[in-house]
Amino acid sequence: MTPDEAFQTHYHRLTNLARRLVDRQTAEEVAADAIAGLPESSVAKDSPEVVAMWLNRVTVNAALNRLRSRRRERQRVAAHGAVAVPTTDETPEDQIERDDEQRRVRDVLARLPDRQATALLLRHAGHSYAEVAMALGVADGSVGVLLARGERAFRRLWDDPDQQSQDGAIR
Amino acid sequence: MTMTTIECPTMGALRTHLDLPSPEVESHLDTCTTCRDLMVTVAGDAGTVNRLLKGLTPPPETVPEPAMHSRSRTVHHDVASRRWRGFSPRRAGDAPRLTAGSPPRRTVATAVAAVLAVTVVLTPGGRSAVAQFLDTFRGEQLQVIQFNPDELEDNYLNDEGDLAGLHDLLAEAHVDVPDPVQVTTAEEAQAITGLQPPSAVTLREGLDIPGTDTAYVASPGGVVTLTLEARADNEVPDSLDGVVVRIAVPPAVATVLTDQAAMDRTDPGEGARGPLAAGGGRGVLAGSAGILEVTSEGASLEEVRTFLLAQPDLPASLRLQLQGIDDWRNTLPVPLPADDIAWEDVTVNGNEGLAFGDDSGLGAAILWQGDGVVHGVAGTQARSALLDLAGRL
Repeated sequence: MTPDEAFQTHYHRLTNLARRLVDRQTAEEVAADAIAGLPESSVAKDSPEVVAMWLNRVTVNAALNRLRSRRRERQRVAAHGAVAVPTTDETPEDQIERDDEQRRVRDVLARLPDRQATALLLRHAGHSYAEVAMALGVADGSVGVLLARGERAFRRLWDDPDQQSQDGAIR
Repeated sequence: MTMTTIECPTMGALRTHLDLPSPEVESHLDTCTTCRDLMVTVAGDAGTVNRLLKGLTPPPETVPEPAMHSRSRTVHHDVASRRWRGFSPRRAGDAPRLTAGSPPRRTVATAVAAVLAVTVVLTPGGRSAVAQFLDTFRGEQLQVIQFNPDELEDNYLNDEGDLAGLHDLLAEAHVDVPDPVQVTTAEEAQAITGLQPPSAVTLREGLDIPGTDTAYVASPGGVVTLTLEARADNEVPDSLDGVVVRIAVPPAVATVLTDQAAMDRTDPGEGARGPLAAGGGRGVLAGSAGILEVTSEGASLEEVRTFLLAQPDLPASLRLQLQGIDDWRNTLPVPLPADDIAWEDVTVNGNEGLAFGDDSGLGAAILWQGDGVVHGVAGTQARSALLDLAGRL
């Protein structure tokens, strides 16, 4: 698959996937980066299904990293008592992102281990167990475990945001 | 009242049952109140997460066509951040440290023992929501941990590489890991391990190893089971009494090429130590292994990890390094003697890896992970030559 074909085939889907976690511009960036990294990856010559799931994983991981980075930035701002001022060039998507519930959901996802967050995101975006397994490089039978643990951890963090985060005691 | 039995499905199986109903699980739920209660929790979690994640669905038609050729790249490196740590040049006559005195069998066994020791003693863990649920560690990525061999051996390892320092904490330790065996064909090695050994033809290409002999080393993997015991004379808390930690040692396979002519020129004592031994013997070893997995039962891995990392005999530098691993659930610590072996991060076919040694030809190794398998190449070649070879495997 040429880079052009990869963009035509995957870009829209990957951007929509990342868009669940980050704003549109960032989603476009992480999707483009994932596709640009494809030729050097070990799966470049694999089947289309393997390539698609690899791109899903790389895109979600990159989006999660961006999300965590922004979360840390918000925490730093909060710690110094500054007030976040909306930018004047906010897009409608940015305004949606600022919606309280969506921000909380993303915060909780950012606090989960990568594999759990990716499993939740892909599964709840409609991917099959086999596709989730392929994206994470695990056996099909492990997907249920990842989902159950991820959903348990998600709900506990959702119900009690003050609980320990990814580096803490909640699993 | 119905009790939980050994046939009870795991939490993962219950979660899968929500999406892919199974008659067996359904039948079990009819008779087991414990699992029914757990199923209510699992279904409640799944429903909550589903509702909340649906709110993240992006509005339709929000994505413009890609401006692909103007986009910047962020993933462009063959050799990542170079981190040379305390490299001590070796004398020309010194043995290759990675292989000296170790025939393939011993090399693999020692490597397994070292990985086991570090993993068992130091592997971090996590907290599961349900105590009975098996909490899992999978060594899917690699991170170098440097240690002082003398300190670790004094406290934890005896001369055989056993976990001597752990015995005080255990009620029992059951090791069911057969020794690696040396076989003559790739087919035999694959039959034992289920893994395809690297091609001997590929190994020879580009490497200057005249008159090479080929052998295969195969380890079928196994299980190590450790049971913690709280006693008056140890520090194990009551909460960890009876906790079982299982280490699934993955199968491993290696192809070994040796220069027999050079071996014949060495003195018998050195030659007896194995094909890659010091004293002029030349060779290369390339292999693969599955992912090491650690599970705990009766307590979360995080609780076990916290306890082990708090052991006073654990060298402080080692404790700090292990505590500093962010993604500890998926990171396999690779133990390296401090100030002894140079290493750096590399990329092999797009996968993150580690390169050890140097270009002197005295000994080097490449270790990388990809597609759920850990791969390695080691030998008496320049590190750069082995990195090239790794890229062709």
